[in-house]
Amino acid sequence: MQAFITVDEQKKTLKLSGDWNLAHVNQIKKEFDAKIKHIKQAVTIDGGSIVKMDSAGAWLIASTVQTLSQQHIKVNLGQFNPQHQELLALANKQLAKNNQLPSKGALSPIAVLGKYTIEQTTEFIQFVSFIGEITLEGVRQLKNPFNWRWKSIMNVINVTGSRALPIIALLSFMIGIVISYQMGNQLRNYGANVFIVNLLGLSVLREFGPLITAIMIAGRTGSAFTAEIGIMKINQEIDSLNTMGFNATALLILPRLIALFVVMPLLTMWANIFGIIGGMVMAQNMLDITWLDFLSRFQREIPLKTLLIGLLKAPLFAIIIATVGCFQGMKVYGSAESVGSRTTKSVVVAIFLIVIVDALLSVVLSKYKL
Amino acid sequence: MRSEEPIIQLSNLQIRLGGKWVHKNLSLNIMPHEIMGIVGQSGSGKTTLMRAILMLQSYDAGSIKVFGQELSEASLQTCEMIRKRWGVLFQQNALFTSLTVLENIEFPLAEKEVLNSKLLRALAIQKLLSVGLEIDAGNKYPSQLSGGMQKRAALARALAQDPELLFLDEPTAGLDPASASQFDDLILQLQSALNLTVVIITHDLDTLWRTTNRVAFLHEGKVLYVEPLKDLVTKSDDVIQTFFNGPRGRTAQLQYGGD
Repeated sequence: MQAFITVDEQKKTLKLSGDWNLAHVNQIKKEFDAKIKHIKQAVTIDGGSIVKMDSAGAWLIASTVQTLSQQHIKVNLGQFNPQHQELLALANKQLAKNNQLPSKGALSPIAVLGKYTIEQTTEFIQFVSFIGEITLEGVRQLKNPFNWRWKSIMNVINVTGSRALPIIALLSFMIGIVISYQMGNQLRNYGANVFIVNLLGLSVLREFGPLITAIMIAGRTGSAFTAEIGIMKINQEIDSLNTMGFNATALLILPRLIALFVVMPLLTMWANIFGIIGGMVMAQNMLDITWLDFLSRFQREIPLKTLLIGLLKAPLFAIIIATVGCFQGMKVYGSAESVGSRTTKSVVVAIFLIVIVDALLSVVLSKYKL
Repeated sequence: MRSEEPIIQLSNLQIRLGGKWVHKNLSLNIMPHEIMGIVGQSGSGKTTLMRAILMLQSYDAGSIKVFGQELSEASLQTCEMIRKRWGVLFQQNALFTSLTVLENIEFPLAEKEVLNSKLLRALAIQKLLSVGLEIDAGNKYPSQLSGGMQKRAALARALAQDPELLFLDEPTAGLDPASASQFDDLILQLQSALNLTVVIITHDLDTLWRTTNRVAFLHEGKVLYVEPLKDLVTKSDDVIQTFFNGPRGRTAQLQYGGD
């Protein structure tokens, strides 16, 4: 049923009828507002024929009465049934309260910039002190390796390491193919086919192997660390650990850090192997370099230090991924949204730092002619 | 009083969870405009029962009728209509953590009804105030509120669509005694003003004494009794005696049951 308002000719009575509920409140509000515009004198609102009324309908009537009385028009309410009267009384009570929503106070652009700067600076300081905390706790734990959480370390190694093997193998194999193909095209122009071995060996062992692995692990494992720890934070599991006298750093963060520290060089080696195989396959197809030729030249031309420099980066990247992932997890607060934004941040910041550290290392190492 | 159709009708309901029968032949009628308490020891399937009525949990046999509609046979449109007519306050509040309190209340209104934004805001503020929250709470996120205020906000959201039927799962759990008794008042007040049917699942004996018209006692997958509380406590069954006439039960009874 619809809701209706009928005005009598002297404009002295508004007769309300029908269903005054949420479903009609939009339509009836407009009609009500239009009809009361013409009312300039005392009026009676007759609610005797209202069939149904809910709190939305009651609010509409009560707020209209309020508007009218603010224009010094006297309003009588008549013939409402007792239950409707109770609803109206409730609505009036709430209209009497302060119902002005305080404005959120939009900040000026400069204030926004300032707020952002302060937030970022505080977070940076917190990150540094987080690293300090891990270091102190790590040093303390170093004294008695029997107390290490070997079981959870092994578990993290399994999840982040062995289960990542297929995807990393596939990815680096593809990268090997791509490098070999692009470089091979250029080298062929100069008849320098055989140098593909040098290029491929250097770029994969020194740069691509560690980087691809690190980026993959940042996306795969860093994000998982953040989400796991973040949910535990929201669920007060970390608080509960603390109250039981366990140290969340020792229990949750160090095992992840140690496990990743062990796993990353191994994964990098794995990525190197498949990267080189990928390049080798392409070199044979495109540049007619047999696998035997490729490998014997590889042995002669690529110094061991290339491999070692690449493998040296891996634990650094591991530390970055684990600390950033766990730190962002510990920063989760309150809402589901915060888990999402922290997880995103964890991956972005980790990859950002990885690339920066890689660039710095390149510069420093070339300074020392390594 | 004229005889009315029950608003919820459960007959011979059977639910099996994880290889165990939670409910064996459970039957219960809830009449319009009454406040029905559902009690039972922990693990007696109170929450499972509520989830089954709310269509969150499937059942193995028997029937559940809500507003006269058999749930297992209801079409999608019917389900939609039924869902519009009830409101639920979950045990953990289940407020949307990424929305402010006011947005939480507006959410069901905005999604289900065609309202312009000014009207929407006004109605949501109305609901916010009606559960006894201050207007300042509207802009806050659930995590910034105390437990009691979160409960109120969740109640406001449950009431947003002016439901006829209100489910409250442990509404006073975790509230301080003063807030809990205010919450009881609030439920009574809203029930009489909005003419609601209320189903309360609770262990809080004070709430049971003050608010309910009838109480259903669940035991071993069945409804043992459905009686007004003052009659229920006089039953001689062991479970009922240990449930109501322990030291805590007696205190509540002395306070409310004497009259």
